Amino acid sequence: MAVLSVVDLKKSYVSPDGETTPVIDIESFSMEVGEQVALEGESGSGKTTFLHLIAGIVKADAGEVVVAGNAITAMREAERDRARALNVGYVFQTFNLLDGYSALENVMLGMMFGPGADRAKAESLLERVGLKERMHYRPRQLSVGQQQRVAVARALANGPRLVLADEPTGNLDRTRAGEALTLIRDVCTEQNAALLLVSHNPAVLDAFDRCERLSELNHVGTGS
Amino acid sequence: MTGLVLLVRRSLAQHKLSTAVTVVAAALACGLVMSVFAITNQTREAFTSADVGYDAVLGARGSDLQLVLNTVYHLETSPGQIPWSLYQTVRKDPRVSLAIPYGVGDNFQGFRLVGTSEEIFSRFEYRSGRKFAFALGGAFDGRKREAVLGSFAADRTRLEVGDTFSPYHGLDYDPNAKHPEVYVVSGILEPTNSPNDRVIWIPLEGIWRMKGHVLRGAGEEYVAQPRVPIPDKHKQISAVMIKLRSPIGGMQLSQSINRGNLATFAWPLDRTMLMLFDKLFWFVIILQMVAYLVVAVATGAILASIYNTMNERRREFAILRSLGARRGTVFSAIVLESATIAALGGALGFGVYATILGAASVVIRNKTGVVLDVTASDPVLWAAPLGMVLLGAIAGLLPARNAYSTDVASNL
Repeated sequence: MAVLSVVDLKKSYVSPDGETTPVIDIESFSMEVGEQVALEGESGSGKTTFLHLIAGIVKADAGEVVVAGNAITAMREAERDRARALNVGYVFQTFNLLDGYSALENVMLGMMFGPGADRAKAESLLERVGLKERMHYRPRQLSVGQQQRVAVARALANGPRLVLADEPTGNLDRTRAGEALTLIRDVCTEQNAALLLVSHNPAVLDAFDRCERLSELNHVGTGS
Repeated sequence: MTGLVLLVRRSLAQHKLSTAVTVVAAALACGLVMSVFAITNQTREAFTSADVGYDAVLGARGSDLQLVLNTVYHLETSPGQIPWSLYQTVRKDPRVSLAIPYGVGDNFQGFRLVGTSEEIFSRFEYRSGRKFAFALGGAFDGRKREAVLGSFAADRTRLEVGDTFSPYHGLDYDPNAKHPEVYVVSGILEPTNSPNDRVIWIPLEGIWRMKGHVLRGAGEEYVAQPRVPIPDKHKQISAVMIKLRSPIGGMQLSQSINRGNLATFAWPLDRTMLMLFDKLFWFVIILQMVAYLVVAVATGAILASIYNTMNERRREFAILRSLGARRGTVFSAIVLESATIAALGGALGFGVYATILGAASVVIRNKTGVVLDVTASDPVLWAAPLGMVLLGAIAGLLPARNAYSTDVASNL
């Protein structure tokens, strides 16, 4: 059963001088429930736009994206926000943690717009990623690796069916990258969440059974 | 809602300094509006209330307002004297239920001595159903040089029952104008929260017999001699405080007395004071305009403080949106934050209000005897904070619109 289905997805950007630049043109892409897929993409290949389209952050020009039964591309913005809050977890390359909030609050924020804040679950997730003793620390009080773990916990906080990870190990050294990758994959497996991880690091890509090249999926070939 | 509260709380904590400054600005604005309206309303109520114990004042021909200020509020100088015979006539008038003579001309440490009859303690009600009560001692003996002090006068002069003092000529204290007569304090009144608290009551005879006082009731000058009864024809008083049996009587007396040239019958009292406040209306309007201006500045400060954080917060909004927050959620968070700053200001405004009203209360009581009540209810006490919150929310609309239109993809 597919947790993600993409069909004839198209997206272009219009530059300030009126020039239209196609970024995404993907005929077909899908993932099964709990499946973990690595997506290889160079800088500027449109991989972030692709993830934004799947998450409903950006509206597609044409085509269809269905996440956990929700036809994202047919929804209005508020409906996409709601669907994202309930079904999608997102791990950013720069983690995008909120500086003014503790690790625990950052994780709880991941729940607040979806199923609702659950402190016990947030604490449990932080404990799972090894931050039991530091859940009240602010991001700037944590190491880069620890921030990465908070980001992972936040992405899983709303019990998503699909986790999107955009170069999650891009800011980590080799050792920490390996640990972070293992953590993300293990936690997704435990939560039965599918994982679509974008990277251009061969070591990361090799760890996945299924690895797709965005340059082969995307008929545009150039990104934003 | 929990999410919104967390967002607002964290944002306020992150911008502690600007939050504190704008909260103080809102508090000053809110407190100022509350104070201006409360002081205006309370002083107007205190000075125009018909419930001062009597309905009319009879005094020398002249200004109604001066007569009322002098007799009711113990302010201003007396417009002149009226003959004792007029008092006797009014007292016997069937339309008058109580007539109390009132004579002024001396003071002690700036507190005016009022010569009157013992009826002021036995029959006069300074408010409906409330007569003067003695905290210490008792009423003066009309045949002796005794005095009864209002509570405020006693507190300030530090005179106690049994103490003696000599009055000073005139209504303003002049150390060179000391009378030789010595008065004994026979009693001190309980506070009435009225101008009467500032008065030192003595027998009317004492005013007439004070050394240097000249009576002209019969047209010629007459100086009272010790132990010699004063003929009625020479007696004069400053005014008569009159309680009427009915308003119709007041109308009739007003028409008959005011038609002549001998005296002024000030009735009804509240109308006279209302005329004074109407004349001062422009001043009240200016005070209110200043208060509104401060509110406008505070509202602008709230707007500026939040608006200036918008650029640094675009990433925060984008992250929240990526987590599923709707545009409406971040919009609401900004409006709520702005309203919260205003609400905190409104809450602190009560402290500003209490401080201003407390200070004003001391000044007004010292000058007039009228007591302002910091705890008295007034619609402005809920309207001003609510208005401040509403203005705060409105001030948040512009930055909230910016937050609303934040592009998620380009700010992540």
